[in-house]
Amino acid sequence: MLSRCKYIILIGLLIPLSSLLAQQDALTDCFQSAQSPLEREYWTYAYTSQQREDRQKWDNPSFAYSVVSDSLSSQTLPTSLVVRYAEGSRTGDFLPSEGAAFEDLSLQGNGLYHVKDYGTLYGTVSYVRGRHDEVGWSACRQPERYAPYFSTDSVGGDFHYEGYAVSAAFSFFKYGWNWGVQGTFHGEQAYRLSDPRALNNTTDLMGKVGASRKWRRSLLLLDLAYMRNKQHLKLNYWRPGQQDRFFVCYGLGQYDKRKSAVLFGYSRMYYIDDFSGRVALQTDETKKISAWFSLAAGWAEMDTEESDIQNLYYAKDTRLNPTLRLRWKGTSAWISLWTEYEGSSRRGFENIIESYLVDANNNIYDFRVIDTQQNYTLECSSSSVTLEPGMEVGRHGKVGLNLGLRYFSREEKYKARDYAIRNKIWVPSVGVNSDWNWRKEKLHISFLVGKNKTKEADYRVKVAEGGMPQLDFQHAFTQYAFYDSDFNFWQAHVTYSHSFPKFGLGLDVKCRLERGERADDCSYSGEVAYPSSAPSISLTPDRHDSRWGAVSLFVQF
Amino acid sequence: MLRQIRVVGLCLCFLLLAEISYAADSELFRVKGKVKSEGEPVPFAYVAIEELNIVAICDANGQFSLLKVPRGKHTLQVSCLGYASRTKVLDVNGDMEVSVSLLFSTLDLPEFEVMAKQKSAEKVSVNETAIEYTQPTSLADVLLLLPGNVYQLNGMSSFSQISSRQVGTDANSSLGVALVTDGAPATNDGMRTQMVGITANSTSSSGDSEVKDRTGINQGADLRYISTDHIQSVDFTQGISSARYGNLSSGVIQVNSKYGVSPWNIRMKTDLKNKLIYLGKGTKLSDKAGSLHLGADYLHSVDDVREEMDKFSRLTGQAYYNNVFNCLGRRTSLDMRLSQTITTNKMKKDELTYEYDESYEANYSKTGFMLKSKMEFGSKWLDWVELLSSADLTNDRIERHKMVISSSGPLSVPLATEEGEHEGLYLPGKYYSDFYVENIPLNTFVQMNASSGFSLGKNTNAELQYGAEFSTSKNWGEGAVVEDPQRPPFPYDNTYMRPRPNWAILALENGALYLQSELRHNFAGSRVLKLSLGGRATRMFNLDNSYELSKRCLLEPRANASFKFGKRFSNTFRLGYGEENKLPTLDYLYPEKLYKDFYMLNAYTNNPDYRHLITYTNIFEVENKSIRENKNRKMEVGWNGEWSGYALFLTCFYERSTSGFDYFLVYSPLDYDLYSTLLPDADISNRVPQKEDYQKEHYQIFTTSSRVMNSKKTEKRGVEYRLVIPKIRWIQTSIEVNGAYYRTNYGSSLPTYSYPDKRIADRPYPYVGIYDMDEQNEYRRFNSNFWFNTHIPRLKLMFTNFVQIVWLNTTQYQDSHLRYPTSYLDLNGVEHETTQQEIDLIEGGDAVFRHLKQTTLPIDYEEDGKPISLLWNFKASKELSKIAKVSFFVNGILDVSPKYTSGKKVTERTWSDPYFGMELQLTLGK
Repeated sequence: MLSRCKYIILIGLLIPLSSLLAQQDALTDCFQSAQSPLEREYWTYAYTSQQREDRQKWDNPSFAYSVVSDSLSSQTLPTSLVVRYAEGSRTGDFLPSEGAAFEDLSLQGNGLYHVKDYGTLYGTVSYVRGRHDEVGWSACRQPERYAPYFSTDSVGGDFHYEGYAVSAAFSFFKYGWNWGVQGTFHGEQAYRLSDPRALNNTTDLMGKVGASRKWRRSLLLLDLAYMRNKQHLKLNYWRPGQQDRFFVCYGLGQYDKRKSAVLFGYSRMYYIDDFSGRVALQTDETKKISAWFSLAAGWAEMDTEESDIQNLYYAKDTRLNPTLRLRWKGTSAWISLWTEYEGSSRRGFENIIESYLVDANNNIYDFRVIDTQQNYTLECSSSSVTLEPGMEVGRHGKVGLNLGLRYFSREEKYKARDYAIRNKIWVPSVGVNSDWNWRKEKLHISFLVGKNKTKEADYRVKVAEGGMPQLDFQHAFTQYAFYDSDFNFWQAHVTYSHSFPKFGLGLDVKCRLERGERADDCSYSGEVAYPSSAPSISLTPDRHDSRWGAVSLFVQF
Repeated sequence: MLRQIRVVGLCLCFLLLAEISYAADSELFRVKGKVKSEGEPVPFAYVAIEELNIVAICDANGQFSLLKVPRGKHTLQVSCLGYASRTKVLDVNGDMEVSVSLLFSTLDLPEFEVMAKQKSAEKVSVNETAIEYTQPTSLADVLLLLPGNVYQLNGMSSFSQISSRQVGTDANSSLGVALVTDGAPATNDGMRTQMVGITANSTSSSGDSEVKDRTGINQGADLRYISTDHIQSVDFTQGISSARYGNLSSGVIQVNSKYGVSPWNIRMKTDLKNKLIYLGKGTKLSDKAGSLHLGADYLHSVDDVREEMDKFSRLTGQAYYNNVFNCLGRRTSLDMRLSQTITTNKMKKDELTYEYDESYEANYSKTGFMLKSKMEFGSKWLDWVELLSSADLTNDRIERHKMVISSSGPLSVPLATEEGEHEGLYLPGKYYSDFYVENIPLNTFVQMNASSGFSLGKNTNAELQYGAEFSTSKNWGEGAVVEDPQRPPFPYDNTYMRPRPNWAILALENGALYLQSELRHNFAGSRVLKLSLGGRATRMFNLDNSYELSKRCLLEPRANASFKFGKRFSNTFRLGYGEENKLPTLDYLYPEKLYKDFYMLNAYTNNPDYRHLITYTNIFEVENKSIRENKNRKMEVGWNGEWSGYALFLTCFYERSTSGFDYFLVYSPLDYDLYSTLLPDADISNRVPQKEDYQKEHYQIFTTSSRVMNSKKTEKRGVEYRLVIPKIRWIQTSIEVNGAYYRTNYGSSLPTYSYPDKRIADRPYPYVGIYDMDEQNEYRRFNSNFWFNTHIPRLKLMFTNFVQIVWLNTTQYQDSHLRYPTSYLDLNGVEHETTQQEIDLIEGGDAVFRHLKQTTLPIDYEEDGKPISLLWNFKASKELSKIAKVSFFVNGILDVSPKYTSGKKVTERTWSDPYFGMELQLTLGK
């Protein structure tokens, strides 16, 4: 859940420690943000344990000054520009609220400026245009952040979007500690040209402070962050004859009947306040055996507001993310063990609102909250363990092996009606990677293969006979079916760069392929309410295939 | 009496100034100098001692000469395109030479100006770097830098009025803002759009919002058309302006174009609505031939990305030539500007959404030319003479394809051209109407300015600036043209115009003389008294003698005084009074007659062969020959305190205008014969009905029409403040807090008409009440804008956190609570004064008179106040290298607008969406 919630936010700064300059080639990864669910899945398995550790370190804005000042005098590191095109699609099962086809083109600038004895400034700025096609039963962007409180219609369509992001951090040394502050903004405008036309203005603003200190060659890192998310959803235009009701949903297909009337203009706000922190410790890296331990926790509250200023729903999230890495490093070989747990829990609340007479003389009514009930819960967890042996090959090369196992669990419940969906998945994977570093050229090649295997699946959502029609197929069964599938996946990554006298040029290619199918016994047996042409999945088992690829061209000045 | 006092006052000023002419000029000196950068001369830099109004432009070798500089310490200011501005204190004791070095404007300089600067007591200036840092799309984006303004998103698809020291906006204030480009006015006064449904001169309730929202007839300059990429600096005067500037009532925006030598500059901007690209370059032609600055930009804007067929495009280009040379042995500067703006605003209703294929297209093209030459004399009596001339031709054409649907029964085809009874035809219930509005105003302007400086002794000097101007505005367009007059676009209440072509309307011709004197006296101990006295006499020519304005010479006295004292802690007290007149536009002077068709016989049947319509056409003259100028009286008092880089500016002002232009609704009685009751023996089942088949009935009603009147009343009062805190080293941040408390009242200066929508004995209600209730809406706002400008030269980084707090934001309807009309109009057109007898009838519940009592519910008087709200905007610029600079902005990165209970007692909240974008600037070559 944690990773799903944050996929669209800047992944963060990822510059491996060994050599900043050498790793400038891989800036496509350093500052890249996932633009689609398929890319997010790619990153779930693409990182090596070293990259995961570095990501967590660079997530702390105080870290930069110490690492850069250790290796560099006052100078400006190369500025890089990255142009990237990515495209992907799913066949068969998909989450209708996310869409089935994705395409984006982005332009990104990155830079790191270090002034000795003063501070280090680093950051990124990016612009992206893209589209998420075949989105159904959700008018929200990034719907998993606001689930189960979907605003939707029965038409769907293709979302076009334009995103702007800037992230900057400044770190410095004072009173024996490294200190850092970071600000990140991501803004997106997304719209749909099919009626009813949705317009979403989504922004994330994050502020972070970090501190770190070296102590007997060990490193202690602390950081605290606050993030504010806001999404304003507007729906305009509907055509008679379409089943374009504006459903205001609150979990597993249920919706507020009174608020789901057909309206000409519909507007809704979502807000998230998110607090998080991390404490991390790295033992002496120069020793043969070293360890990395980090513990991150977060708390968030999501609130909704209708255009008449009634806040019908809100939700509270808690998150926990401990990681442990153990590394043995020999003269020309190493082995690393990475373990991680990511858990999140969401509780949804529903406000009971009544209309009351404020002014009898003028017949004016207002509203007030008279009760709140809590029925909805969503528990997600992911545990993974990765073993990575590696060795140097000659003077220029390194090769490594990646053996991983991931366990994913998702459970969604609505207690008042005793609804529940549960999916449990095992994902074993194996991969190889190699890096080659010549005088003017660098090459990185990696390949990974994995298998997504359902361990347990349970679907317990049943609309009572003669009861009000619900969107249980659209919002409950599609989720369940998407996870109740077995498939194999393959991932590959190649980066090549060449240094010229005044600049460097590089090419980066990534791809991912999934092939599989939904479980044989996973069919929807009820009657689908509000049948429509909105993109959705089949009632009976179908393929679970996808493909995704990205090509980047980067230049360093 | 007041007028006589003014005339006497002006004469006294002239006498005073004539008296001083004998004074010796032995205390005035010449300051020569050279402007350099990295050892090379900087051509065509602007050099000025602003406090003395002494200005010079360097020649191609960077040399300048300032004439008649009084003895003492003065601040020399030097600025040039692409360079950081520089100031230097001169201690003038005799003729002297100075050298000034400029540095290229980059973020690694210790100073980088991004805020508006107080240029003089009444003027605020925004320079090139501050404009660039704003990341603007049009000039409207720069207005946020002015104290008292609050952030607003400036859309490009609709017209936005310019506000001036007020809460909200109004057409008269916006019309009264003079936009002056390189000294020449850019006016829209020659635009004229007369068509029911589009102009306010229409009683039609269903005006065409597609046109009205996009155009700004009678509302002044359209800032969307002004690209900031051609601008080097902008000066704003919201208070009492110099007498040099006329035909205004709210303020002056002086735009100074980019000129001189500069490297290639490329700017690319993208935000949620706009995509913009600019390319510009200034070239030195040769040492003798001067310089030429060329620039062009293109903007594509879509207000709502879901409405792809509703878009605005703007293409602007500008060529500015300047040179400084010797002519007849005198230093002469020559400036020429040729500019072109082309915009297209297209809207086509999406066929997927709308059943009807409606469209709107506005094509606008403006070609402007300006020629300015200034010759320095430096003689005892004359410092310089400037001749300024400009001409611009606009071609503005709006085309509309509109669906008309009658939902209220049959309507008549407008056929009649004369008053009286006519045979009528029925309009179809549904049809398309096509029309266009064409305006081709040609504006010309010529102005001769001269200046004479004197010394009135050791510590006193005076400068006189005087001149004459003449402007014309002739519209050569066809005006509003309905392609098929029998298919009117707005037939809904059977009111029509028969518009004359614009070219048949006389040109606006205005002439003016002005005199502006600046007296300055230095007392001992750095105390300085400054007195600015100005007067302006304006006359409208080419007006028919029947117009009251044709016989009048309008006088506008303007005065500003300031007294400055204190060395370390400098105090300046300011005081000002001024009158400013905005003259009526072509549209206000020459509105079209209204033709109203009333049905005498309306026999509509399903069989078209048996239909018969007889109409009575009434013509309303809405032209107002006694229309006057909109006079705005301004008073202000202020104080500036400055200490060690800290500065506080406070200005209290009061403005009152009771003669704002408006299409004022008046009621007139009308009687005609009505044939609506069929005679008992008439059989019209198989023939066309005639009048004789009906009972003749003498019918009397009231009808409405809108006349141009000086009826709008606007009162503005408030306090503006600006606190400047110099750079705090440890956070590398300078802070400015500015804002204002504004209280603005909008009302009517004339009694208003109200007609009870009642019938008495099945006849129309017989009276129209005339109420002098002083109805007005009062708006109050108190805001503070906190600007935290962090500049880190070592990192070539600048970022600004702008926090806007609106402490108070209220709206309230007010009136005198007088419930009875002061008079009432009967159906014979006789106006009766309301006596106690009528009041008794009203109070006694008389069946007729009781309806004349105005009732306003107590809840309508409730103040609608919003709670304290906060808005945070962020912008940053980072130089990546010598050639590239990246900027980013987010407006509304965070906003706090709490829920509140409105005056209508319901819970509300103001929602706002963040708005963001970025830009890349490239500087190539030299």
